[in-house]
Amino acid sequence: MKRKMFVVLCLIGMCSFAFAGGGNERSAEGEPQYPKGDISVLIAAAAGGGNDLLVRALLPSLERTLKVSVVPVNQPGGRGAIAFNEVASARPDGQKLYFNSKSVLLMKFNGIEEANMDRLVPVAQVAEDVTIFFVRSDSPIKNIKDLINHIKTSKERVKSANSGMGALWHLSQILFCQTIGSDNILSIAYPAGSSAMLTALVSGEVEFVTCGPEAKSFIDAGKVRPLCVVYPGRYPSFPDIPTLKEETGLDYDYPVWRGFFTTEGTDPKVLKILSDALKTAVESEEFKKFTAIGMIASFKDSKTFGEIVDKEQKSLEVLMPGVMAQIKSADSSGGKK
Amino acid sequence: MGSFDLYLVGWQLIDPQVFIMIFFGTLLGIIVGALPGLTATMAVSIIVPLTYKMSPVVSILMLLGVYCGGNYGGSISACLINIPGTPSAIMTGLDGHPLARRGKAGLAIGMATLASVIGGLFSVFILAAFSPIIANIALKFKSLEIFGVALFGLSVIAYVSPGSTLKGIMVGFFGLLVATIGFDPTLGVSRFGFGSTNLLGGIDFVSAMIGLFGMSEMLANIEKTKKERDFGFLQEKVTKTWDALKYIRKLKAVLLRSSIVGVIIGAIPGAGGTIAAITAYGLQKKVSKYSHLMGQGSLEGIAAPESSNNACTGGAMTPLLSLGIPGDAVTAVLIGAFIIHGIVPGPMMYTTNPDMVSAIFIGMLLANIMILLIGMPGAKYISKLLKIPSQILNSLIIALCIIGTFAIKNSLFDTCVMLVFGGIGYLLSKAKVPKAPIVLALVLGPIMEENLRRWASLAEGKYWTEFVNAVLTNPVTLSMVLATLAVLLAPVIMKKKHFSEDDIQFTSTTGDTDPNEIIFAEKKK
Repeated sequence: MKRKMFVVLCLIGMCSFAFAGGGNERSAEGEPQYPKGDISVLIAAAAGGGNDLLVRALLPSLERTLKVSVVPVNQPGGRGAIAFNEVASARPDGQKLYFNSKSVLLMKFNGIEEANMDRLVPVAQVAEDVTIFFVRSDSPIKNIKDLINHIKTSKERVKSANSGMGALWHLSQILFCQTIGSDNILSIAYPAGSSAMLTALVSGEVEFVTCGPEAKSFIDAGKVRPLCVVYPGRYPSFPDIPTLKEETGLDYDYPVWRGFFTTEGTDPKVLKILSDALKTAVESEEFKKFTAIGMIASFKDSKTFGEIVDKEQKSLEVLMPGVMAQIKSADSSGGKK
Repeated sequence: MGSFDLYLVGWQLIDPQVFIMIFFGTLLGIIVGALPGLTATMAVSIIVPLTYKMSPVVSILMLLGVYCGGNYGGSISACLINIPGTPSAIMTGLDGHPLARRGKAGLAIGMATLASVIGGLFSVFILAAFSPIIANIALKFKSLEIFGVALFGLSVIAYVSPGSTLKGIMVGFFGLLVATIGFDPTLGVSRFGFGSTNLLGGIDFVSAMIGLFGMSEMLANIEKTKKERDFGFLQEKVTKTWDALKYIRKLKAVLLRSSIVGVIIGAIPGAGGTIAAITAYGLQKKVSKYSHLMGQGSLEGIAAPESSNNACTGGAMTPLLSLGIPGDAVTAVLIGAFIIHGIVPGPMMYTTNPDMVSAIFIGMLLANIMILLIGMPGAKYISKLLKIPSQILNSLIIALCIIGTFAIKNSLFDTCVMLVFGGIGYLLSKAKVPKAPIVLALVLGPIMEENLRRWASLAEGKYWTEFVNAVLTNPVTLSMVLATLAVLLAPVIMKKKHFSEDDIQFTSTTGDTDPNEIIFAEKKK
């Protein structure tokens, strides 16, 4: 009997604590106070990857500014869709952030219907990288003009590597083809990412690769030759590589941004606080040390970043359905032209 | 880069913290290996999640310590209670246990330790010497060759896995089927998602593995009666382990032969420590002058399987580092650990992360030295752990399985995957179906599919011309095709499995005299 009494007492105690807690939260909701507790950042990538390291480099400064713990949570499941869903369906209080690259815009077109950008609101852009064109270091192709010539005159389609059909680098190649006015390339998917793409380039399976600054170790090892970057000016991490525009006069706009998002409907005041905190973080010493590796810090506040996202979203709506249809028809015909 | 840089550049990564973690990894591996029912595969898979927050070097080297230690640890329980702590110690008990019964438990464990260390060190040197050469060749591998290696690995496992060949092939196909869940590798179209966001990325194979090897073993342990759980612990003091040292010189031929067998079998994708131990024991029985004494406590019978199963570690790491293809189930788990830390194992590692490769060589070297330093004086303490009540141990491990799978992606779905695979694994063990083929199919399946599909895209519809062309011009493709055909057709032609456990009598007797007195007395003359 005594034991039962004790259990009942414990339960009553627990309930009262729970209700007390609930009551407190409700009373706090009236004031626009932010942050209300620890913030979690859902990273749509595994621990140790580029996106993960980037977020972790920003955390110390964020914690100093916001005076709460900022907890990174890696959720690579469902290609980032699970993390997307969790943030999109959270309470719009800015306590849950989502971090991803430009790929977040492509998810919707790759068959993940719930990844609708209307459900998220951009907070800030923190970094940017670029498309770099590579060939094997012993290739007869010495510069980007040679490559364009080769693509235009080759009898067989020129083989290139991407990180997935309809994904980031494939799209960059499609835009490149539109720019030079020839689609004589056969782009092959290497879903494991840049390292697999560059390995395929070194083995001679493909003739050129487009990917970002993560190729630095391959450049340093003398295995690949960078031809050009697609960027408005010389790219600060690789000042020796010429731009597409200065080599050929042609250009296309393809910034590969990385940034933070949160739940749609979040108070603009909260967005401002977060955006300012991120600005400080991007300028912090810890982040400068990190970006020395290759990627460049590039801060854009909530408003500017939002405009960029909207603009790209609109152009992708036009471009992507055609691209996806083309990919599917190419595969069902067994790769035949 | 100078030719020796690859072996030296890693030293700068070995700081005291790394050193300590290799020590703890090896110790943990030995303990887990020594506990019956807990395998080296399981030890590595439940420790992977604990290393997420460590730096890549620390975590990979710690896991290698667990791997090497786990492979050795099984011999302690095999000698003392005649139950192999890990499947790879299956042959060690045949001679180790009778010798321990004779009052020479220390000698038996000492011999097992020394043989493990010698086999392990031998394999590290082979790994360090050959993997850069293989990697250099592998740099020229294209999709078709990588597909060939993966297919070869998959065909081997069906052939050499313990138990029925047919059952091995059946579960292998089950694994391949599970591997097709998730995004299509070339199109990015979701398959078998059933509308679930969680299934979009496919089944996480580390979770599946923890379920198959960790959870299912625990389920099987729970149903054991108290009598089965108390394995009749041998009340034998483990002393004078260093006595084994004086037999080493006389056994050097055995050790060398078995180590070579171990390295070769380890390097074949799909075959692992268990097969290496069985083969080395069988070979020893064929060539030994004292084969009639094996099974009665012969030191030859301890040295052969133990050096072979530990030599397997370096062998299995060779294809992992040089081709990105795992050599056995444990290295398959290690692939997951590498990727978590942003390192893609494969030939490019030698160019992009030479310090990491170098640190792996050094780490494995250190882990084997740790086995010597922990095993020789520590065996008597580790043997006491065999008395831990299994209730405590089982609950601890179930908790680790659940936390570990959640921690991979912070997703409860992965924990559910683990539980489902735990149930599948349990049923499979009841049906005496080997579980390793599933894991290898889960790892090799996507590699095969991705590369085959990519090759098909590259061939642009001219499959036969491209294939014949590749076979005729590339010796690697040709040899891969021939090797796969040989492995697949051999059981049909020979109608008998080579490495079947049924061929070896699992009996050991205690004769009147210590067989080692006969063997070594005659050898002295």
